[in-house]
Amino acid sequence: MLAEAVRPIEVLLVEDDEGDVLMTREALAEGKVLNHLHVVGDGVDALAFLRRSGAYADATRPDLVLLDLNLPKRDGRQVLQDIKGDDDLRRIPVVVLTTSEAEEDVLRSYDLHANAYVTKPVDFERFVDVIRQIDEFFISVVRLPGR
Amino acid sequence: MGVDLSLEGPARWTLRTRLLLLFAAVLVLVAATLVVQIVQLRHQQDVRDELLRNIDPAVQAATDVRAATAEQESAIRGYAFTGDAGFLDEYVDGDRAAAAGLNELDELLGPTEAFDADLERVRSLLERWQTTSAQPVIDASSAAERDDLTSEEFQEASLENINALWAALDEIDAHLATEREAQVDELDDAARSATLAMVLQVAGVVVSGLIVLAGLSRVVTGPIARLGDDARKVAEGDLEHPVRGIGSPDLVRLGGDVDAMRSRIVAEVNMLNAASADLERQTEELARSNRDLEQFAYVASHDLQEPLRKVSSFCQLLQKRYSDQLDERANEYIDYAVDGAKRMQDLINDLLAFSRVGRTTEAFEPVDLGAVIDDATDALTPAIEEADATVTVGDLPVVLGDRRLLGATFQNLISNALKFRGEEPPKVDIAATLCAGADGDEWVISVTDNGIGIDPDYDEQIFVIFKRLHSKAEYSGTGIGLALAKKIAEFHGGRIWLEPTPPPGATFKLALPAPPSTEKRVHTDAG
Repeated sequence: MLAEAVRPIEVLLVEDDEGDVLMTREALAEGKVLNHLHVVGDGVDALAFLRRSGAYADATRPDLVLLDLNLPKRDGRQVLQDIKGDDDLRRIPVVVLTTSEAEEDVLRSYDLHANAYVTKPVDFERFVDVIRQIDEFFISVVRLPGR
Repeated sequence: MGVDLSLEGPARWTLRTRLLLLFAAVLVLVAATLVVQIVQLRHQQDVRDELLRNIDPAVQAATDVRAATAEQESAIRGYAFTGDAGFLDEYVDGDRAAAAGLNELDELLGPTEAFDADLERVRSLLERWQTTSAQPVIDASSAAERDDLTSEEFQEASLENINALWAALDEIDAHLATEREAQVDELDDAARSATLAMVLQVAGVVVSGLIVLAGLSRVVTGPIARLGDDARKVAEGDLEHPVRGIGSPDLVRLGGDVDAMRSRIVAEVNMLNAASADLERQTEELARSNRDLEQFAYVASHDLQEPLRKVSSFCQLLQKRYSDQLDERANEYIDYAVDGAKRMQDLINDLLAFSRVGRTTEAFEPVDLGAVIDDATDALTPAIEEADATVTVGDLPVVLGDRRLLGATFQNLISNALKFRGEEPPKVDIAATLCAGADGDEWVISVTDNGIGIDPDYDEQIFVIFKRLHSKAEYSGTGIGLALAKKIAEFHGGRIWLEPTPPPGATFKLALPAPPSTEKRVHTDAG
């Protein structure tokens, strides 16, 4: 992967909160993660993006999906279910990002085969750490399909 | 269903009275036949006595008299023809025997008037023969005189006299024979009536037995069977079926009592049903309110924390990006804002954890407390090493519970022991004993430390959520630990308390119900 390390990773952030979008963007920058960040605001758009349908016909296939659990319209759990139920999409790693420490969410997300589950920390520094870890884990350690 | 007290006469008789009357009637019947039988027997006895004591000896006596008079007559005739004085002795003997025979007859037949005339006649005929036929012969002083008395004429008159006497005796014999016949007939009659009486008595006993059976059936078995049928219908579930006693007032009363019991049970059942319906409604409401609470917990976890995170993160971002443009005071402000937001998040998470105790547990399973405490000490290893603490764990039992919650409890207790340590390196001692509780056996697990201890005045307050005995500057934490431990203990059907101990240190005791199969064995506190 060393030869290709210069290519920025394509990240799809499914997040309706603009503050969190900004925060994620900052964290990615702070973590020095070379990336292209695509943002969609709800679950329906997320699936449209992934399936390149409608307005997203030209969308790039993401290397990683950062998925908020609490979304307008189709919520994060359903989106995760759809992704993992889709033969074409199921290999894309999904990291569930949420404020909730509620265990039900953890369990439900694991049942749906999320690749990781991350509670957004209050501390910005820790958030940066988390983002960096995600990057390292998924981009550097795990050999991703199609790369 | 009260007893109808307006009943009059036999209808008011109790079962006991009815049975007594029935018994008395049978008794009277049997007694009457017995009396009849006794009278009959007595009569038979009398007749037999009469026969044995009077008639038969009388017949004998009459024969004796006849023999005696025959002897006298032959003696007189002998004397008349021979003049031998020896014949006179025979005459005197015969006279004595005849008199004795007559006296006996008189004695035996005296009481019977029918024989008075017969006896009188025999006496007078005997006397006539003696005076007219015997005495002249005895009185004759010479053979010539006696020859006159041997004349055919005199002898004929004499024979006539004696024959008349014997005819009279024959008459007595005949009378006696008739009497005897009559009494034998009477005896036969008596025997016949005795047999009849016996037959009647047996018939009477059979009839009264039937009457008693019929009476019992009418008075006892019938009504009881009826009562039993009613009671059985109720027992089979037809609670509305009325129970009524019939017959004697006590059975009616019994029926009334049973029916009162039935009515009472029906009322209780209705009440229970109503209560159960209420309970069901309440359970449903409780379930709904629980769902609401769960929803609230979720909302609180997400929606309340979201803005907090935003505040804290952007404050930090502000500091990070613009710290060179901020003075020290501004940085301090930002630190406080971030710290406040973090504490708020801790409080919210603790509150959530507290509210979730028991709601995420699906079923209790056997939990090895030894393994649970191993996990807890593993998780606390950095703190234990940092404090240079020693944790001694005794032999711990297996209990039924939620492993995660019990783990959280012990982790809390151990971390408290580390946190509130005294001058010495902390020592934590964990041991279990099996005790007999009010609702069965329970395991009491004690966690003893050598820390700063707890003022017994606060032994209840320490279990109140977010209650703290020390300032945040002295000891960190939200004050959730012991409240959570208490809630977890109670959720497991147990309890937790601060054991009063002399300083230093504190001892917490956690009692948990022992699983039913727990053997009574002595646990040593071998580390």
